Amino acid sequence: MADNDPNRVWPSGLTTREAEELHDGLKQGTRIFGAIAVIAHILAFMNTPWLH
Amino acid sequence: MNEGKIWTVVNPSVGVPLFLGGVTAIALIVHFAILSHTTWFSGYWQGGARGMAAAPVTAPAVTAPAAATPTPAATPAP
Repeated sequence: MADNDPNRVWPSGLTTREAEELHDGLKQGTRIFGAIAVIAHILAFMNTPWLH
Repeated sequence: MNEGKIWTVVNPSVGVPLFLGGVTAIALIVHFAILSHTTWFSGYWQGGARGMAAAPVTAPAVTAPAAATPTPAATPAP
């Protein structure tokens, strides 16, 4: 990691492209988590007295 | 959703575990709250009562009236 790389943004030292790439992964994970949560809530609604 | 640049400010080796840890903590708190404020969650773990929660509100089936068959007393014995 060259210290005088103009693309590196401090304080974290990542380049903007690296930050965006990492964030894309986090967003994808959040979508998967959300989908699983929707399925779990549908199952809970069908199989428990919740909201009945 | 253009917050990707946050990782140029927040160090991801600190921010990502904090984020995932926060989500985990919230999930545990919500599950524990439901566990301690309902009976069906612990009942589910207890097991045994099959199908009890599945049919709490269905109306009882109405049986056909038995008027069709004549009463035995009305006909004299042969």
